[in-house]
Amino acid sequence: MMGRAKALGLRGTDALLNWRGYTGRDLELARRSIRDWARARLGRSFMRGSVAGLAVVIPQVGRAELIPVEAPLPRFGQITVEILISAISPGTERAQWLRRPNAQPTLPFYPGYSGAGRVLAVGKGVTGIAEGDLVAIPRIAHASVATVPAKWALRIPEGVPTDQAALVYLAMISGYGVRRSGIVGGESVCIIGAGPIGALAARLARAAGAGDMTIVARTRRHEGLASVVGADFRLAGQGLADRAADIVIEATGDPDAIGAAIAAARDDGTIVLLGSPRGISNAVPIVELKRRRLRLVGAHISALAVEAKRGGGDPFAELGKIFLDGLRTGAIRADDLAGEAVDPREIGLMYRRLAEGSLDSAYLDWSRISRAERAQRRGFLAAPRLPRMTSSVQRQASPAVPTIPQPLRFAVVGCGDIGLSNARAISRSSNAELVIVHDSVPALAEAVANRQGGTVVPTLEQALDKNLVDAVFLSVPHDLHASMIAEAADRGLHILIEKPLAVDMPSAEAAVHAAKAAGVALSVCFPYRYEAAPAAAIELVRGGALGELRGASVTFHADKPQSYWHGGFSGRSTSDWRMSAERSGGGVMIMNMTHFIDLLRHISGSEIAEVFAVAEVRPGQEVEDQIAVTARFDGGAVGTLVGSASSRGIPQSRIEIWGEHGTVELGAKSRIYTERALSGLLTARWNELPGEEIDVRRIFVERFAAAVLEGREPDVSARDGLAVQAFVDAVYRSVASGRPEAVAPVSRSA
Amino acid sequence: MNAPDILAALPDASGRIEIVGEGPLADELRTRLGDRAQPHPDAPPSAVIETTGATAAIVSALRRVEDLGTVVLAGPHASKTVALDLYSDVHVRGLTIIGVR
Repeated sequence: MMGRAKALGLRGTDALLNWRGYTGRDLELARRSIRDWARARLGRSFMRGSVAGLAVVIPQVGRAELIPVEAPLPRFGQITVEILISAISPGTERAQWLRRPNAQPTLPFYPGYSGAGRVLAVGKGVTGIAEGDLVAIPRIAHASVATVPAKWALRIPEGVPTDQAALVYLAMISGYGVRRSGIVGGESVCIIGAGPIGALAARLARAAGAGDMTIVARTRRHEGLASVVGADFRLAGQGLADRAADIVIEATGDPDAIGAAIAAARDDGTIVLLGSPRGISNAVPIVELKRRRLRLVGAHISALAVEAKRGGGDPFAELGKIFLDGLRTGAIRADDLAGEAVDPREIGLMYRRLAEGSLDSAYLDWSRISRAERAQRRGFLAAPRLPRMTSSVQRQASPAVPTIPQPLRFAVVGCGDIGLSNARAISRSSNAELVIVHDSVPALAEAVANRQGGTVVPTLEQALDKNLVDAVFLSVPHDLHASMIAEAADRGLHILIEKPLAVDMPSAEAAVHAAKAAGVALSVCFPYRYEAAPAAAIELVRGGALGELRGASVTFHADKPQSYWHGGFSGRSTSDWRMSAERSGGGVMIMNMTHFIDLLRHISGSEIAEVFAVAEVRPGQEVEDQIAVTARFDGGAVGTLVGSASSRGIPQSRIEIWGEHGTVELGAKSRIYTERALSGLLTARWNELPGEEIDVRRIFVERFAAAVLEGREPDVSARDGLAVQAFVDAVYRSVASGRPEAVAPVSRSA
Repeated sequence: MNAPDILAALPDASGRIEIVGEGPLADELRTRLGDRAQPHPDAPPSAVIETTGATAAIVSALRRVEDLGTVVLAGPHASKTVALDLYSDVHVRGLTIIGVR
């Protein structure tokens, strides 16, 4: 019966999630979020009271995340602690993440060792600890809240920093190793391994009266650890037979380090096995153990639990006190051991860095997450926190435009389809004014003026009258771009040019040069930067959502009607220029995909350095109908761009950009995934980007007008236009040569 | 390698000790230890003195001795090195291996 109810419930949940847009892997993750949430909330209903928090879980191989948990209010002998810091045990946690031998916990797994925090509540029968006390707690999971036996907790002495006190369990582990060595004052000690366990063992051995000391590590990076305790430093692999140490502490976790450890000991000496060997030791020098009457002692902390059970007392607390008192008096230093503070939301990234060796030691700083977010308590029936499929990313409002007394006065030249759109954008702008309209076909100009205002003038010369207008928006066939830009620049007008900048690279360079020489602003109409999803993506990428760029893919699919080639999409203006390679400069690449090249450059912040392209020109045509480009970015990232002017079905386009930390997708569905903790995003989940309609051409005009009026460079600079042109130029050169071609770098001064 | 030295190397005098091997050294150790060397079906020994030197016997001794126990290597050894799972068979259980000659 229960099984049936559960099955129905699950099916209902799936249906709901499907309806909300979750499918495939997203569905799986959302399902898990609901289950974790339900488990925490259900658990709470069995408690007389609880504190909500977050805990780290490894639900599957290679993935770590935070889930909601409830810590019950303390019962007899217990305390509830708001954890501020949880220490990472680099060796063990790295081994568990990589699923090394002896380190393959059953999943889901809740990692964690040691932490420190503030006491929130104290149960009956607890003495010596009060609400508000700072305590160090061994054996706790990585979580923002925990209810534990009060006897586990050790009060942190005044003046001891929390991040150091949080190492308490690691210090117990190392302290147990030192204790098992049976060290007496003046004995020489050799410590192999310079992770936190080895480093703490060295400090505790020093505090216990060790004499000469040697620290052995794999890299010179750890040399400082030796000087802290006045020890000699030795690089691993250099031989240790001359050490003749009374005591050797093996703290590497490397099963093959036992040979070096034995070599470092004097005859009749003691070797303590403190690091957990991850694998079989294939060559334990057994004869040497005998011949030199050595003692090999295993000192895993679980053996201390056996000792405690047999001998009574609290040996854990004793070891913890030695450490905390040592920190208080300065006999033990740990300021260099806590490592890097990590936002717990970035736990997945932390494990990856630990595994790849780019992070030595670290701790989770729970205070990086606000109390409200840690608690996430919104009533029993409130929904679990899922990435919203509507607008989890705060929509970026249209960029503010200052109101100005004098709007920028525009002429529109070229009144075809796109000229009409551009005229409309100007007349809707708050800081621009449509004053003059011109087209070589007067009827087209009349139609625009009738709809959007402005006075029709019969000649280009009259349109570019500096006394009447400040700027011109050119929407003419590509082959006219450069000469008209030069003419407008000559007249001292600021210029908006419908993309592309020009028909080819030499004319684009000439156009930019002309504008620069005249000191006028020149901007290419790439307005899609202002669409809601790309704008949000740009902001998030600037905030580090992707990290270093790794790759990108662009797909553009259009199904252009045959009439397009003779009169554009509407047929208002009859002209065959789009069919002519000489007049248009090319097909789908220069005509349509330039928008995506601009977005790709702008979002990724990277330039494409080299391309290899193939294209299909249909029989009887001059310009390409299909094109495919393989690209290499400056920093080594790779990309592909595929475009089609005749793919049947609903036109669609899609951009994917991915980097070391995340992926962004823009298209019919726009979303972002990042392992970084960024405001407004769920970490390590897909987050839908906003998708509402924005009048991007109007914003483009307004931003341009504002830039001109404030005397700064437009958002889309002439350099941007030239960089896109350089890309297109390299693509067409590659199509012609059949070889990879370099994209001409666009200089900063352009 | 003599019996008194071996017994002196053991950490303390309490607990049951198991002798592995049938040679004269094993015999002498058994004689000296008396009741403490008597096998017990339920309780694992707190120490094992291994006199055969066989790798399998060493591994078996490590697995038989109680947690925190001691294994004394008192046998002749043919190979210079052996392969051991030091994590499960020594580290986690807090065992001590003592070499004597």
